[in-house]
Amino acid sequence: MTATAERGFGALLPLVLSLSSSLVAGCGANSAGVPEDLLRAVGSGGERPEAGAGVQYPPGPYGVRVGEVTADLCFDGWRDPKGASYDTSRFGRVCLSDFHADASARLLLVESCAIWCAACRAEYGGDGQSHPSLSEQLAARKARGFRVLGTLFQDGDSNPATPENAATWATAYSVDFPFVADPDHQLGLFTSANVAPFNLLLDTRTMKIVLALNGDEPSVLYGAVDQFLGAPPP
Amino acid sequence: MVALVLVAASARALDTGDVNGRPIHLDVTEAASVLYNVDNRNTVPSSVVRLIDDDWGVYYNRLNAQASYGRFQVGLRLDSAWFFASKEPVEVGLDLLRERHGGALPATYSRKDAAYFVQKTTEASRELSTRYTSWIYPAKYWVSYASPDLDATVGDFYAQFGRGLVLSVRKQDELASDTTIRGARATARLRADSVRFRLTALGGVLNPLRFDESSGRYLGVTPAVTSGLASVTEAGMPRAQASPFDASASPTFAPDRVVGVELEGGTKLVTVGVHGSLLGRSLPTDANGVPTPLSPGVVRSADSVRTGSVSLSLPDLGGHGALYAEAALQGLSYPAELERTSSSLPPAGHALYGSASVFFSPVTFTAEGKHYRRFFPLLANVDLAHAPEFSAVQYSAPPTTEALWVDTEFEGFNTCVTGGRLKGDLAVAKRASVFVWAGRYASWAESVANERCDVSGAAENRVWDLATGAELGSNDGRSRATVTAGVRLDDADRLLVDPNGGETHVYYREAYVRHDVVHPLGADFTAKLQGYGRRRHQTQSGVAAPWTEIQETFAVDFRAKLVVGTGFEYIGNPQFSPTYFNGFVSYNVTSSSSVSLFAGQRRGGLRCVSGVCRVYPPFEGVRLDATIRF
Repeated sequence: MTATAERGFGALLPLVLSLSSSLVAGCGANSAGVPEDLLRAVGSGGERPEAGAGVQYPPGPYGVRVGEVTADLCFDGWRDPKGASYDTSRFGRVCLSDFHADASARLLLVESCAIWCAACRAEYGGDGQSHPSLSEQLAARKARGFRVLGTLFQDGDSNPATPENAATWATAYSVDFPFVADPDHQLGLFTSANVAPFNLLLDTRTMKIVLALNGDEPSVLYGAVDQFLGAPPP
Repeated sequence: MVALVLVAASARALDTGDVNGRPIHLDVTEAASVLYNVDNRNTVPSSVVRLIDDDWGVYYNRLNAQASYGRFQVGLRLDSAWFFASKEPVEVGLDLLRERHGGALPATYSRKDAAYFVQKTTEASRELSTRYTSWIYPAKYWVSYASPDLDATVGDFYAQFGRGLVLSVRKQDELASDTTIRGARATARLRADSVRFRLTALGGVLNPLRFDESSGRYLGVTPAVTSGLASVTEAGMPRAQASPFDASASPTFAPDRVVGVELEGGTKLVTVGVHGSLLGRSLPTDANGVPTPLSPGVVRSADSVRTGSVSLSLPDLGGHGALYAEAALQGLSYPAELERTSSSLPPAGHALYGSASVFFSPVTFTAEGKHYRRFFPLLANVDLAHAPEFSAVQYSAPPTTEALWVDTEFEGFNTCVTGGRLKGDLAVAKRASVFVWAGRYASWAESVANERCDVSGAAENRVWDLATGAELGSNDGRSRATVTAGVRLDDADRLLVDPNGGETHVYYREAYVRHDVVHPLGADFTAKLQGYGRRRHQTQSGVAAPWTEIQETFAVDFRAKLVVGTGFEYIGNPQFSPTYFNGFVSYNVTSSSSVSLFAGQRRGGLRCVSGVCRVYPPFEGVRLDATIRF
């Protein structure tokens, strides 16, 4: 369980200060070497500004391990990429709380990929026959409350993903589920940026982590999905 | 350190005295490394892991001590790492925030800046909890007894059954890997006329090296994964540390248990073997008591893996060759919850491997073949998210049938594959030969995840691996050269998305030249030139165009005592910095004591030996090594 505060990142201030104790003080900085203005900005973090209006997101403490509640991460992207014709000017904010607010959702797969990652391409593309693509896996389980959020965190040169990178990827694989760019690699809180794809399963009612999986391992991933959702209707 | 080496120059293994008329031999080897890594030029915006691998230094020490008395031997290898420099979490957070604002911190900070700073500081703190931590631990220890009829070891030992399909636990210096079984092993030999039998039984807990000197990462355990026998074998081994942002530590490694039996019997002409291993996982349980692997996956989620094989060896075909064949079966069992719900877990797998060599002067043919279906390497239970440098740790090594250096069997290539390689050597003179080989493979698990090894779909990749070359040597043996030129053509059966937005069947292309030349320059000096050039195109790696890689190392050896050299590397792949220069000097004080200094740059990337591959980070800095044998 993490020490991340229930009421936003501001409560992390003492921890950040304690970590910085060995830094040499600089001009305009406190004894920890962190600029005072930055500490004030951290200290006034308060509630996460983007927690969906009117949505009661589960309270913290938030964590990164199985069984812990994940924080309400927000990204820029499309809720309906196909409907937006993969047009980056139609980017909007997409938050985990959106899926928590969706009464018909039960389980969310947050998939983190990069353009340099061949296994990510296999996961999105399948082989068109006996190995389903991510969209096909979703379609087979959507009625049972399965949802997918795709995130792209790096381009082919390992630089932060741009909206244009997201459009190229989403177009190439005809992505038909919420898809976002994650240039800050917020999912780096869960896993290394050197390992992709990363698949995170969240119970959308509690926002607790059900599974955290590195690599393209469909038999284990969808075994866990089906275990959670129950058997498909005959 | 240099002074210490020089002082020890005349040291030798010691005879410490006699007991009951038998001498006790004491052999102590001290290997010490000091390395400092500056900015290795792999930093990209927003990436903690690529910033945190700059500006760190370590003193890494391996002390080996062995004592032997008659048929008994006792040994200990004590490893210690002391990190004298590394980054701080807040420093990383500030550096990345600075980079986000064009190189300088902004005049005022937004809420997004604050959130970004906290996120990156948290990431760095977690990353640092598994790296750059000073340790001293008993890496290996053992007591052994050896006689013509019986060998027995308690403690750490290596083991390989057959050709590695069932069990392969050994040291691989090229990959900085040194895995043993910590437990007990006994081997009995029986001879009846011309028939010989050998029976080996072993059991214990698997023990990979816990410290990776190229990344400063270590594998740590917690009490959640060290119950039973592991509570004994893991005594004194590195413990996982919690970051300040986590209330408790999570293990990055869970030691697996293994038992194995091997029976081999036969004559000089034919040997038959039966090999078996049972791998048991130490899966920690979650809050609900459900077993949870550190990194879920088709192999790491299995709570046990049973592998067995039979082998046939004909080591001498009338003086004109040899033949070996091995057939294996493998079954994976999963926790009941997963087994009940997942319909796509793989059923039992199998493997067939064979090799044959035929020699009729001046021609030698060598053939290797494999047919693997759902046959997986015994992957260690490692947390890939927090210790990816150890992702290649495995306890078996199914043969690839490819050249040792091949690093282009991507993804699950070798788990669902049929193919082989035929090589022909023609001796054209006393110390000159030419060779050619052709490899042909079909894999159904390279361009798509295919754990069940379904070969009916469109998952197939077809590969040609072709090469030719020559081996030349002078009559006095002092001069020699090996040159190999080859190509690899890897096509997917279906159309793939091309990085340029189009579609292609091309999965991978390569043309290469490798060379290794040794030539005397005079009475006391010898020149060595080793390297390769590769032209590569990997369509699914995100790199739109083919790229070139060059690596050359040139060294001059003086009387096998002093070696001075320099190296150059170039890579046209835009994911890497393009050029790397380095220099090194090595001095052999005695045949078993040496000191060496490396300064400069070394490219990171994938390095493979016999199908086991690991990713190395780039290195830029200085490294001093000394080995002293007392």
